[in-house]
Amino acid sequence: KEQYYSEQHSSLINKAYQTLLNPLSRGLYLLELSGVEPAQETDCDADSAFLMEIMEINEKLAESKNGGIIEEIETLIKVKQEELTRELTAAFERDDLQEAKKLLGKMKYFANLEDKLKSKKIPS
Amino acid sequence: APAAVGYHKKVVDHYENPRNVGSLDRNAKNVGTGLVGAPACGDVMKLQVEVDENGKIVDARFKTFGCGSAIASSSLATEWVKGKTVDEALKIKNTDIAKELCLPPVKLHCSMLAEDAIKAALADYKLKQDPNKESEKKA
Repeated sequence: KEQYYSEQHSSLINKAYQTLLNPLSRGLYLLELSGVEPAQETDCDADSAFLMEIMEINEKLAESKNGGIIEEIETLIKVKQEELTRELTAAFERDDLQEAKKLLGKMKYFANLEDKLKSKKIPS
Repeated sequence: APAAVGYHKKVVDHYENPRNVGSLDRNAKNVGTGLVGAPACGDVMKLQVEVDENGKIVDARFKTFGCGSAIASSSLATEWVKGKTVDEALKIKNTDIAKELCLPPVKLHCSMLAEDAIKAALADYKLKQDPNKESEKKA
């Protein structure tokens, strides 16, 4: 019984740690704690420049064959993520939850790109 | 590729044999481009339509980066809009798409994204046809 209890706690701690380690999941959790729901509505016209950028990076990644290009894209994604994380920190610091919500939406697109890039790097 | 386990065979079919993947010339006057995204899951979808002088959609293409259900929904959307008039295509509902693909509740938002993409593409087309807005854009 004590083992079960310890296992439960251990897994909760792991979950908490993983949530807080990653800026996106950490940000979403903070948003939730503040009582704001993450973005659910479709992004459209207002964000077309941003969406086009995401589209282009996705296309570039899908077409990429050599490691050089993949590294370039990896660096780009990392830079963008760092930039967004800085902006997100600033938003939370001034309690601008709507801006935080928007930024977290943008970060999700880059998180997906990061995952795709990782699978691309794994030799098949 | 993501695991196909748990996806309905109709979704798998669209994923493995996608119809109408690609692009149309976004600068052509009779082409409407819709670009939409779902911030909750990070899926991004581009849908384009080519409309003839009679207001009928004669060609459609899509490019989607996201889950199998999102890809299938947009693939089906391009199939469905072809041959329809602009007004007929505006009537396509996400519920029809979801039903056709037997999407589970957790993937219903993918069909909604496809409906939004159709509407965005048609709105873009209509905007391009409006002579007043055309000259506003050029100015």
